[in-house]
Amino acid sequence: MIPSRSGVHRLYEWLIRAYPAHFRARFEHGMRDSFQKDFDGARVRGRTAVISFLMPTAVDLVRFGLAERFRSTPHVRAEAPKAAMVIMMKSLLTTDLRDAWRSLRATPVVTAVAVLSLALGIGGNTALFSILDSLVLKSLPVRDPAQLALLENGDWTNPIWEALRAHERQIGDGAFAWSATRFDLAEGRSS
Amino acid sequence: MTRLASDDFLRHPLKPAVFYILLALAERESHGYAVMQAVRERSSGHVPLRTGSFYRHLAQLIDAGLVVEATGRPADDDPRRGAYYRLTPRGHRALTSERRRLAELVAAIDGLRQSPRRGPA
Repeated sequence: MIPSRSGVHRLYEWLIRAYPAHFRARFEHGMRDSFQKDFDGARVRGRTAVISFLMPTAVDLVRFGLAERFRSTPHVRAEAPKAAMVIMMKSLLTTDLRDAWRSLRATPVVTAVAVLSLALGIGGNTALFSILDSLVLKSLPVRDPAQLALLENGDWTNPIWEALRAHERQIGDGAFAWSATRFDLAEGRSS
Repeated sequence: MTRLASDDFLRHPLKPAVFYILLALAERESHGYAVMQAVRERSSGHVPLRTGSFYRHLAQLIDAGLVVEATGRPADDDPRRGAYYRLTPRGHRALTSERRRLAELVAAIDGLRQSPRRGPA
């Protein structure tokens, strides 16, 4: 299905906003005329031609529109050095980003290896941090972890524990116990 | 990208798109789409000029004083075409200096062909 003329016109009106207002006012008629004529020509040649026209033209309009927005002007340079500096920094950033993108595209294998290495590195670090966080950093899932007390290094026999449990509400909010000693209840054996 | 000074177009090699735009306007005053078409035809489609890139180049050329909006236009012309443009004397000078530069390059290459080859010592 070939996009309608009105639909493409709306798309153009949206894309053209990438350009600054003063640029649109200056070249509005000519730009619309060129776009419309190129589209009409592509439409005659069929759907593939329309797609081949619309995709790069849309990218082109956005790309050069944004570039025009960040272009410094003599007016700005003369009267607002701070604004000119901001625009210059943006221009430098744009240049750097473009150079970086071109370098990445020029060496796809190196790019793939770098991206894979980053992915593995970030993934491994995330996994390790998750373990460290759950074991060490994160507090225990109880109401008031700071109030927890550990009783150790004593002769905590079972009768003492039973007595503690009987009065646990007087001591605190609750108590539990564990032992590293294991019992084997099988006949004739103990450990 | 900083705004290009007019001298930049005279001192440095022209970009292919800029060269073909100046060439099209040197031939006759034209509106934007006619210039775009002329560039496509003259370059056999090797210069991928589209609406966005063409009007940005045109704006730079106008700001640098190489191209100017023409005051007159044909009586039967469609007003939807937008403005007509023409080359200024500075634009003609830019084309001339580019022609000289290209001629020097061709001469340098021709000189290379004519000089006898020498193998390693």
